Amino acid sequence: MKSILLTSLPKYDLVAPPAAIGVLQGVAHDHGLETSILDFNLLLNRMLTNDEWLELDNWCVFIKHKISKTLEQKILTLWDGEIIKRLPSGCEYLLISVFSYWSLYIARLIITHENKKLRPYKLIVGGNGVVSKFPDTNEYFTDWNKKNKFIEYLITGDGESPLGEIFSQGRYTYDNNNIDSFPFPTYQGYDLNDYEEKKVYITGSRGCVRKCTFCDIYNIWPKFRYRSAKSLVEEIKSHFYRHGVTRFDFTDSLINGSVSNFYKFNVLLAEEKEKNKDLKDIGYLGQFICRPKHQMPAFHYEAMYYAGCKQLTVGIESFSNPVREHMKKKFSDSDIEYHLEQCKYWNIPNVFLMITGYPTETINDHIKNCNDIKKYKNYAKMGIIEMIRWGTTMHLIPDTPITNEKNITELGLKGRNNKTIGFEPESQYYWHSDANPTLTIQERIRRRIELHQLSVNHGYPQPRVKNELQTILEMAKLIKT
Amino acid sequence: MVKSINLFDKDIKFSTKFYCNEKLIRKSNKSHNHNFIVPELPAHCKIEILPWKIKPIVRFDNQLVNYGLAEITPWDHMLEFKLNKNFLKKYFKNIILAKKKYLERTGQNIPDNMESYVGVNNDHIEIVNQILEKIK
Repeated sequence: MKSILLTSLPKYDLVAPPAAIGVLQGVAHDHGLETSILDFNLLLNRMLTNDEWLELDNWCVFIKHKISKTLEQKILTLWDGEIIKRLPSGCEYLLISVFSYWSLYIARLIITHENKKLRPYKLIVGGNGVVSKFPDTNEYFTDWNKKNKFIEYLITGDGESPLGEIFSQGRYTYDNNNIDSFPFPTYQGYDLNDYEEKKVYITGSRGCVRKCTFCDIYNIWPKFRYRSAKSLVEEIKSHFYRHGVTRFDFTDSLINGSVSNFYKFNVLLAEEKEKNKDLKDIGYLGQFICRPKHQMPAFHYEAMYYAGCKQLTVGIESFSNPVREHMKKKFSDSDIEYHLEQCKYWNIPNVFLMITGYPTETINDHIKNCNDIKKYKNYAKMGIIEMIRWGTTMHLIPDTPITNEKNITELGLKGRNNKTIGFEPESQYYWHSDANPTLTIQERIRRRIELHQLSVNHGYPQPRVKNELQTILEMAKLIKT
Repeated sequence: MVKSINLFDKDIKFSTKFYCNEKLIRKSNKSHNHNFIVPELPAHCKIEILPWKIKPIVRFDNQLVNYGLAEITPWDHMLEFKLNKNFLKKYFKNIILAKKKYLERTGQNIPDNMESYVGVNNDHIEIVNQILEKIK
């Protein structure tokens, strides 16, 4: 029997088994392969000291572009040990999931290392990260691999069809335009108790219906595709009966990309729960886009409640309308108010994701952010704004609309020492805009700190803020160097 | 400050008697939906419900509340709870307490996790001051 070892790398959360491996394991099983898994992110979290983990974290998010040789060696020794331990007999493939561009540096380290070995298996590498550039060399991952010929099968985009083709040696493929044709993910081999929450990830759609200026999702999935409501409910039921899982976390960029399908899903799930009381504790959470009332009338929120919607993560990004307009978020202040009212009425908690220091953000936009923290404070007390995250100030991701030629010219975006954006790794954080000259890195950090203090004072829970502040401190230390 | 109470059950029609501080405030006939005005605070509220054993959705000022967090006692024949002007403060405190208890159950109630996952007790004045010093 053919076999495969599926691995995932930092940086990824530790909340639940990685979705990508569940999905790809489903494909492997669908083709009769024996599988083994390694969550290297989880393993490193357990085996590294706090300082080492922080060093790794700063490296992954490009605050630092190198790690110490000692840590590098420790990571590789742990990797080799686990690969030997978990490699199934006659293993034909080693799959490495490069979840996002924050996995780029460690992926390069490990793939380079793998190629120094005489290995019996072929490398399959895929994930959102492989379409990105390494910030330190400004080289695309794909070009790097072309030059070095490290990877036998490099998958850009969706993994299911190419993997199906590899496993069947070109005889079988899935229909990429119909994501209902993909097999259900499987989490065999994972101990769900190893993770912070007993939940599994579920994918209802790929791509997004917006093209927000700061986001790179369009590069990965240019077309928005979604699964049928029926297939989603069937998958939820299958995980419930197999693993006893009642909590489902959507990996979608937005669960309400198709409003009509999302409504159908909620109604169907609520009906299933009504028919079968075993399912009553099933709940879900996911990323959501704030929409105007005419797109999401009140009865949609009611359906979400009865289906078991437990939390929405909403990219509000800024309370300032002009800033959101430039971002192309396409919702207004009154849409935010309507969304909060509905969530209050049905007790649906929200995590608000915010961006501090967007290139067009003026001092008045910042004041609007400060004022709205005060305005919405009662929603925080009621748990409707369950958490708010202000991030580590705006960073410019290459190949996103904000760093296209038009925006760079119009906004006069430049890196440190007036260098072109993207040609220096630090320019992701240390940029400035000629069109908005007072928004220096110091000013962005100052605003971020003011928002932190205001949020604390008005009782907004802010998760992982210590990590964010430590990262900001690192940025601040580098300002004058 | 809680001014209104709403009870709702989508499946069963029920009738109610609303008492505030031992005074009968309002009777309502069979319906899926019942609204009451809270006449004074603090208020010790009792809402008798017929038929028994119904657990309707409860809203205070249009906010659907969790029974546990709002400290609503669901008896077979009535709901009982206390309201005062600090209701929101109590509700928030109970949310945080519930999260803490959840982390305790899972063996993860360590200060770092309260910071990471619950997001409280995190003004981090020292780090903030260091940052402000650096950007002077």
